Amino acid sequence: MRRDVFQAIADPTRRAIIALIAVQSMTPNAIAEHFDMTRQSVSKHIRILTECELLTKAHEGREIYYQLQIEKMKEIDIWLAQFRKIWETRFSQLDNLLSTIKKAKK
Amino acid sequence: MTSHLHFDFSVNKDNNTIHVEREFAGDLETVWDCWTRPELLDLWWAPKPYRTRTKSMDFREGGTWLYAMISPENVPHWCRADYQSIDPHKSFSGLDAFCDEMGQINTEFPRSLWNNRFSAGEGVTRVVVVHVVVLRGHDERDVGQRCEAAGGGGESGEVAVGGGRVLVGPAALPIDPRVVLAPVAAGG
Repeated sequence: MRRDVFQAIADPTRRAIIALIAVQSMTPNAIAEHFDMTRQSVSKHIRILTECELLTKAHEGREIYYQLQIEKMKEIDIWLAQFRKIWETRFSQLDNLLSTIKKAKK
Repeated sequence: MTSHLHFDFSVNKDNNTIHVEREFAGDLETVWDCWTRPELLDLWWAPKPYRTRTKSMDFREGGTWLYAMISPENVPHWCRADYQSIDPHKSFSGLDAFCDEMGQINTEFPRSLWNNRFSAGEGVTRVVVVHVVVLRGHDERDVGQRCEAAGGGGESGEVAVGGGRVLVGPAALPIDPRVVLAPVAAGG
């Protein structure tokens, strides 16, 4: 199944996993310890993140570590930032207008 | 000065909506006027360096706001908003589109449905904007229901990406869609 990065960030648990792994690579067990849910549920989220290519596996001895693919995260950031910026700019213009109206009323 | 005002922006792909929440330092009536009167909309709607110029406005259910977002090079990008429901000082919803100067809709780009809700807080007015993207070929009524669900049910809002392209109408992407879509197409 084809997945994309936006599907990955739609879920709060997956956003939390991303935040954890952003700090350091972690094993599946270490990730699961941070969540009050079954190991299996956490694994499902990790799998989706891997399918979206946000996480990659690295083997160190017998352990598997997951690490964050920074480039993929940048795609989300750029995309979201465009929308956010438009609204921020627009709203700060409305703030100015409201302030002008308020002064005019006095 | 305005940094204490609440601002929330969230995106979710599953139901193709964008959810924007913001507080404004003004009474409900004034904030409502800023969102619904053309002479006021012209002063803030287009994000800099673009500016807004209204050609016609009929703020009624079934009415249309026809306006241009004008680039710094004086190139107008025509847009329209078709109002569907209006509940004075509470909410209004409608469908937007890119179009030409006569209001003829450009079908190359998707439209988006939005629902804006207003409520009075202490010294502020809160505005919640929910955008639902109308994917081409989808039934607009179906999208209307999703907008209601997203707006009324308090679900987290979401945005749409289809095949790596962002599919949003002018109210969410109020500048030349070709310019905005191009860099985004690299994603997904």
